[in-house]
Amino acid sequence: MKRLFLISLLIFFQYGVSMEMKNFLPKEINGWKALDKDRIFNEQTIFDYINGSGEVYLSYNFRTLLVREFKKYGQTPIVVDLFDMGSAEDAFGVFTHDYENQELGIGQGSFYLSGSLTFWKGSYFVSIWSEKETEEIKKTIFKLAELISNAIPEKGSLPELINYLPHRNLNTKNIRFFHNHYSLNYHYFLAEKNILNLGQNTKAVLGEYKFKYTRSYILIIEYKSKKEAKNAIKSFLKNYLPEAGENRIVQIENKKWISFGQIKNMIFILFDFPQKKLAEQYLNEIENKLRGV
Amino acid sequence: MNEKSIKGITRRDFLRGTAYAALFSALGLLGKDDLIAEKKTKVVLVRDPKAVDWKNRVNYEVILEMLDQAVMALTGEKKPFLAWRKIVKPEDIVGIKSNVWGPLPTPHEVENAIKKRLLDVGVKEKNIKIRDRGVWRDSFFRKANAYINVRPLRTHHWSGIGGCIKNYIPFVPMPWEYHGDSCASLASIWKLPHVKGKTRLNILLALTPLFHGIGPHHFNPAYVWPYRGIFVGKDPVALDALGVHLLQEKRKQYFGRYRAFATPVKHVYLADKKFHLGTSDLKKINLIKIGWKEGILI
Repeated sequence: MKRLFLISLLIFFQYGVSMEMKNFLPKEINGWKALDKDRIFNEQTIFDYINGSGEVYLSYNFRTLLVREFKKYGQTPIVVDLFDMGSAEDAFGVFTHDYENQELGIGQGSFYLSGSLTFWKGSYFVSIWSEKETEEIKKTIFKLAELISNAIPEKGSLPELINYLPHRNLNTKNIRFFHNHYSLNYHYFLAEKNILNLGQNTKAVLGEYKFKYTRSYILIIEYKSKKEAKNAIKSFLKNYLPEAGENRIVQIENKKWISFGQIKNMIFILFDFPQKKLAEQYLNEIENKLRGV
Repeated sequence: MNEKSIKGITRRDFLRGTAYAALFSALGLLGKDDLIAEKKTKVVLVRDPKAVDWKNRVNYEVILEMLDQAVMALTGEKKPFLAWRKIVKPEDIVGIKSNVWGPLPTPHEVENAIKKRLLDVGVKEKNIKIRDRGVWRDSFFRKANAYINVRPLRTHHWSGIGGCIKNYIPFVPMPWEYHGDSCASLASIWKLPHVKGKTRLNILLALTPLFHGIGPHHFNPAYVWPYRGIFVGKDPVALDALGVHLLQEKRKQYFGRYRAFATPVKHVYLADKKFHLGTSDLKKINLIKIGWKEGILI
């Protein structure tokens, strides 16, 4: 009886959420009409809709997906996927999974490429997609994105971890937020195995830095506890940087520098820095930020 | 257990160059014994600039000729009829395992070209069927004694790439059971009684491959390029290994740096090392290149 009540409550909750989400989407735009029925998916059913990349959305703790398809005679359909990610940081995170250097001024971050526009706002991530791109489709996709963005009332905050990334030389259009090691490897291949003990309970941010001809990266990870952070650093040193010994800045085979540190439940690793001095400066800056200096 | 099996391949292995040979599969763990030359698997890559036009329209006549050239090179025959006759016999019942994925399906021109050659060598029309989804319960495919496996090459979110091995997932009723651990056990499908030993030819289409996928639908025309090539061979693992290699090279060219696939292409390596379906080691593949060389990348 209790189980039945809980299931009913969940269905009622999801129904309420999806009803609110429906209000964000128009029924018609530039002659493209929405199909009679929207489709709604949750974490159990997402694979019925997305063959493959569903795991990306699950890794960002997604809750509900509303799909509305628009059709117009003689034109390629336009599909809107509206994801309720449950939190602004995960909406931002899933947006950063695929975006490249670009900003369109839609929502709180947006990206367009050949018939595909994505943006995030509040706890929502939106993908608008057409298999083919024409001028008319592109125009309609942009208009649709503006409408949806304006209909979503809330704004969200960026993940707090981003504040710890030093600003100098940071490519602000290439910051990634994620939880697990698959995402880390997707953006910066570190190791096949999960040597940093990343998982759904960890939060990580990866920033890209440009120094003349070098791309360098700073990874900051927040663990649930100081002990978990310590274990992660231990594992990293054992499996990736065994020669470090007592050193916190190490030059590796590509002649670049890696440095690392831990403060409370956070760890930070600097990859591919072109000079030792630079790595030291950035390391100090992160430590000061984390200590609140 | 050695150290490598604890941490797997790391970025530093690539930097040292020790993992470069394995880069093509993002996971290949070559041992010293792998470096010893063995009998090589033959794969043919045929390319023609007229195979696909600037609107990505496929030219049936050119495809037919490319397939003939590939099958002749593969079998060592000088005439298409004799070459195809080495692949199928008139009495065969042939299932053409195609691929219908919306944005990048097996083109009908390719399906029709294969069918034409099957008819030419004497296979009866009623003994030829083209299908993708639902083949596991299709009585025709169950009774078929020969399969021709044909699909486009693309990146895939669950398995790293979609190639010849992955194309057989509709031969099982519950494909999701094979999605775990980067689709590690896909090759086991090839050992099922209704599949094992039936595949006569694998055709991996690199006409307009997808080298990177983004968004929920994992497709964007910006990441498709007109390579205008077709890989043909008997070893599905060798074809997929070459497919991975090609996509990696394209990604390096496009992004200006090594960029890992969304998912490690574990299933290709395991198809070799665990399931012994074929070879994933590029050093053991004899790649015969025919035709257009511009932008060949591999």
